[in-house]
Amino acid sequence: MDELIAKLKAQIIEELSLEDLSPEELEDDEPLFGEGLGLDSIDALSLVVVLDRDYGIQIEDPEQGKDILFSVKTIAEYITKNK
Amino acid sequence: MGLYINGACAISARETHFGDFPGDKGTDNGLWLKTTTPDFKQFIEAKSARRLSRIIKMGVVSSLLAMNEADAAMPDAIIAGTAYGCMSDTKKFLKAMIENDGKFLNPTPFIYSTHNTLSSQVALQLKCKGYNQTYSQNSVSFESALIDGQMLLTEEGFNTVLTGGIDEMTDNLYTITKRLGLWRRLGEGVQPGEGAAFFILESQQTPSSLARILDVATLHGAKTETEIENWIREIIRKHHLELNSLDLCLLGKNGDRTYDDVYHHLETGLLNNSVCAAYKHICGEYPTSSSFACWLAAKILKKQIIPNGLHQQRSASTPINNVLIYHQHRNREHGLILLQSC
Amino acid sequence: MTNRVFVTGLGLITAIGNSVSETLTSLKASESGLPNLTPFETDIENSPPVCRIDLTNGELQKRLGINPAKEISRTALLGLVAAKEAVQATKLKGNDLESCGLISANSVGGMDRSENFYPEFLDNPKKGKLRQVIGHTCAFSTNLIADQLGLKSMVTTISTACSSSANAIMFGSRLIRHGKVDRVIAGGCDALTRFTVNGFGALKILDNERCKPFDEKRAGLNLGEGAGYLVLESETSAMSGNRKPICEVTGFANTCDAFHQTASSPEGEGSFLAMQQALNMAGLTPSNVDYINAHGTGTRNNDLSEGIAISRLFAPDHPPVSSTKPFTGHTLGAAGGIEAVLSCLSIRNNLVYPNLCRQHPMPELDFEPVRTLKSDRETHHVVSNSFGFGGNDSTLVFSRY
Repeated sequence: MDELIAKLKAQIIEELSLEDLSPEELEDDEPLFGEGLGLDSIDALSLVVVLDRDYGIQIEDPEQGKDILFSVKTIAEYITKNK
Repeated sequence: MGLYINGACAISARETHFGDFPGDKGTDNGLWLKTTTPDFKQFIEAKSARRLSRIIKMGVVSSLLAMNEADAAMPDAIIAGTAYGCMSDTKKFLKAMIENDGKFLNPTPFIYSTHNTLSSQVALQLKCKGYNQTYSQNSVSFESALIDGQMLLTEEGFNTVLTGGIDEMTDNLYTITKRLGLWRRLGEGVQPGEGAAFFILESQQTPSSLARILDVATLHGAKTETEIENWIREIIRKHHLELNSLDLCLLGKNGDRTYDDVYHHLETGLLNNSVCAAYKHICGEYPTSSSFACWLAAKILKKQIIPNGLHQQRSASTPINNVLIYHQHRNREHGLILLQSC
Repeated sequence: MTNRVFVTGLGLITAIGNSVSETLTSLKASESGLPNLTPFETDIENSPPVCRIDLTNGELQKRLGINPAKEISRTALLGLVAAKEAVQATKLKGNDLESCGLISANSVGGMDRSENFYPEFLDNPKKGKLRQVIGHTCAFSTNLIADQLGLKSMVTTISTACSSSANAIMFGSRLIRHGKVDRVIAGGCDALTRFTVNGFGALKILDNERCKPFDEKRAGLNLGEGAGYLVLESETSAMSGNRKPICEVTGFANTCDAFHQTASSPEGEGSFLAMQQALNMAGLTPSNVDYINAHGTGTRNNDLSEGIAISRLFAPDHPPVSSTKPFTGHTLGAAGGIEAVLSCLSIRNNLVYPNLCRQHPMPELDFEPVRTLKSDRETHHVVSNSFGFGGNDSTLVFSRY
């Protein structure tokens, strides 16, 4: 799980061009959207692509997506459960 | 009522972004004149800058600097002219699409690939809900934007218009345009280039006013030398000027032997009483380079000095009151801007 | 004193007809006039359905008298078909035509050809057929139209994504109001491209079935292709040429939502302001409006945002509202031009087009779109909306002359 979380953090920073952020600064359960990291709907679509491309996980329902993409930890949990 | 340039900024290969006249040597990467840019981070928050390509950042920052110079808080309209638009995001999306056969596509570069990304990102940065427009007509993209701005300022509710011309050179664009033979015809000392020049236009003169724009016009299609002369003469006459009151003419010469003849014809004929000069060897050849010429003319009129190195045959007498910019691309698109000191 | 702006010519090519009259016939046929939806790429599984024009490039070139062997951007060809029809309707020729301006719009230039150049080029920068990329810029199709029609004065291109050609009509109208030109051809064109189909696909806003504007269960848009142009003239120009105005351009506005690069604000602020300002300019109150041709793409976001903006401005007496996108598909840079022509036809023929494919009302809205063809009331004033990426919101108002 820790390994997956570390990998996800690096991917999020890379894919979303969050160059000023280091993986250490990104907390496992920090909300990615809104008041937390401040990501937006365009980022959400990019993350959906990452999950599909690299983990074979498809998110079709946007409402479900919100819960899965809540934090790095929720993403990692969802991947582990559905792999 | 007039049309005044009350603030301007040109990002070019000659360190002009803080208002200085072009430096002696352009920054080039061996292939083209590449802009020296200010530190974008000082102007755009990291969070909103992270998805913006270089052209967008150049446009946003030159807009902000033009606004600073004019002390303008919020424009009523944002109008951009760009021939190539956002090439790097376009290429990024095309590449991903081709490599992955349309699968697993990140939509971000697509979203930022449209030509109006620039004007809308400036609007987003400023939270400007006003008129927003983008012209893309090759070498007269900037003139089209200026014509729009000129009209807007006489319409109700428009006091401050932000407008400019912008194009970026990328590795791909260079390779393709080179293969298309665009650079083969360039004369000695003229290189491909890129740049962004933005202006605050207002109908009222202020202490920061650089110059007044008397007219802007474009023509389409092949013209004879006489047709071009008549066109210029007619515009000069419309503003109750004489040909010999044109103190400086900035011509779009680029050394192309086939198409530079018209400039030589004008220099030795219609405009032989004026000081004729060139600008493309300074900023590089790119479709919206007349926006750089407009910035240069405005600065010249404000400072009342013509910098050296513009290939002028003789020095101009002061005061410098009227400047004409004329350029054409392969005798297909013709652009003209007439400026006056204020 | 500003000049009045009259519409004297119309030109169209859409998925439901290769001319103005063919398109109108399909619209009047309602359900049976809907186009066939075909997969964009037949060899790819789950390729999204699109609204295609049933003529190959070769056939279009033959029609236009251009050598069919030449490789020309489809966007330019579609534009030329519609612009020619508009000009022919006015019988403009000679000096009157030479001095006519052209303001043409498109979203991605000659991408339909240049996207074929890239696979080889990306592999090896020395490869790729240059003739496929020569027409890449947005100005290419505009220049082709101008040269084929023999236009010699003000020619330019607008590219503001999906609101492009509404902005072209607005700019053309302003050139006439300001006396810069006496007549101008204004509109836009766009062909289907892999680039845009994949782009909207990546955004997950393409419906796998026919689009359902203003339906609670709407699932996205269908992309289409086409072109639509108007000939606009000053009063003096139209009268001196004995051309009978079809209608008048009385109002327009362009605003920016300044909310998000692609999404519209939930309260539809940009679209509200565009409609409000356009009506003000026309000297109309919301109750004067007889028909709104909505942008209505069928995406979750647009229809909610636009619907709320319409409610805010027009409640409680909403005029008939419909989206014609199920007929034409979303034609991006051509949409504003095509829908402007449809708006003019609505005035000329007293027609309100049906908003097809709407089954479930949207609970957020206090109005229902018109679901059947109406021809029982005079249409005097028509509002046409076009919204695009970057929060570009444009509204045009056409009025009976």
